[in-house]
Amino acid sequence: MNTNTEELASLYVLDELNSEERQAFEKLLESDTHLLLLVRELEVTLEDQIRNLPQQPAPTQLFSSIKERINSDFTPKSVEPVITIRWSTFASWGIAAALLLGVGLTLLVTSPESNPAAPGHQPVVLIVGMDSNSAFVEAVPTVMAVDESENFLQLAEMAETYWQHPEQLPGYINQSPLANTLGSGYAVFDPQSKHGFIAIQNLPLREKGKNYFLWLRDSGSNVLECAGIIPLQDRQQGLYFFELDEDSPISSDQVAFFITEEAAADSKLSKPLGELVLGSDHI
Amino acid sequence: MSSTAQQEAAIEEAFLLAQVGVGDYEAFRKIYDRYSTPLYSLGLRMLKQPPEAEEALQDTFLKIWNNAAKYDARKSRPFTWVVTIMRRTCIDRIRKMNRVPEVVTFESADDQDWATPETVRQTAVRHETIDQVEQALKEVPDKQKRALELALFSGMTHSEIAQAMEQPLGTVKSWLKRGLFQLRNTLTKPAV
Repeated sequence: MNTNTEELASLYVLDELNSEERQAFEKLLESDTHLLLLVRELEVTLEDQIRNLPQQPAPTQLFSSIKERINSDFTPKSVEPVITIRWSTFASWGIAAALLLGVGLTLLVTSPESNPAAPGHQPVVLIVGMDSNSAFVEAVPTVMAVDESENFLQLAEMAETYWQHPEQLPGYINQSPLANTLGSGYAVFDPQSKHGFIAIQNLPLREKGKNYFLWLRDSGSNVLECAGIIPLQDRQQGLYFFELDEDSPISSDQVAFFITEEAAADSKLSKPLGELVLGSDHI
Repeated sequence: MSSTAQQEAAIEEAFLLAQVGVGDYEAFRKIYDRYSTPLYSLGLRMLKQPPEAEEALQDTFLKIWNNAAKYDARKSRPFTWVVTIMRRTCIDRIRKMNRVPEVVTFESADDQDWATPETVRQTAVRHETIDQVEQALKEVPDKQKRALELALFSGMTHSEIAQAMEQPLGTVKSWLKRGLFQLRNTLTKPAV
């Protein structure tokens, strides 16, 4: 990495680049893992400087004032299911952490706050492999944390590990490498928290105005649910987080995952109308 | 905070921001609880006056509420993202007040005795971190440190910093980079 790039990285984290320079630098960041690692380290360095200031709590009434201002200017936000996080970023953080600590990424850690198994029911995480016309589900017995953030972290670690090491995916998925030219992917889903990650690769480019919708069908109850629109933009691959409503009836350990291409632009679609591009609606 | 703990906190905070992005008040409250103290402290450092810092903090959290859905973890860590919003808000206020940006220093941190409700362990860990950061700052040459202080807390652009320090722009950019790298190298150096 040359001095000029290092200088740009410093000015980037100090917010000293103009918008044009910033955009150009962010393009670089997308393709250069070492640069991303450097930026993350510089951000942590600055974070330490800010936290090193004498810490003065904000006046206690301030949160109420903020809430009042939000309510007075309230425009309801979309509460439709949306796939909210482009996971590939976190994968980069993982790489950064692993490099910094000199350790490999590890899989799950059982939390002391973990959800005790209901009698006769072993909690599982579903690992779903998908290609252009089929899907395979394996229910892996796993104790997941009840705490929402911790549960997210556990799933994230699983998804990240498979992203880095697809050869560790169980069963059929091992023989279905992600490099499948007709599109392939996998999902990690916790039926209890209704949180999951989906990874996709090599999907065909969408027609203009169309979107990729992620669907889940519970094979036990035959309930079908839309998990949201995958915000692929101009990419053909990515790792994404999704969550279903807490009261979603999707809860068994036999859930089919599939992606369709739809002309719709919001996730209110009650059933798929478009072409199946990945996975299968039955298992 | 250890690197691992910092990574985990960052991932959790990105998750909370995603929740805020779809209108989750509870997640917003958690983000407020985590960030309000360091952001308010930054506001006080930049604006000097508590009422101004309070206004800036309110504006910042409104911006977080309205823009959380746009947060992109590819571009920055969650804390960096909110600090950038707070700094820009403070800079706007400084300019509206038509105030000449003041020179503020890392060292003046010692001058004030602001109480923070912390557990004994948190206090010990924070003091350890502060000691490390202060030690790291001591190793940064004065001019580089001053350039960093101006960039972080005064709201000056690097051109303004160059003017204030009567140095060519290229020199200031180089000082900022070298100062920041020096801090990074010292803070990530394994303890002997």
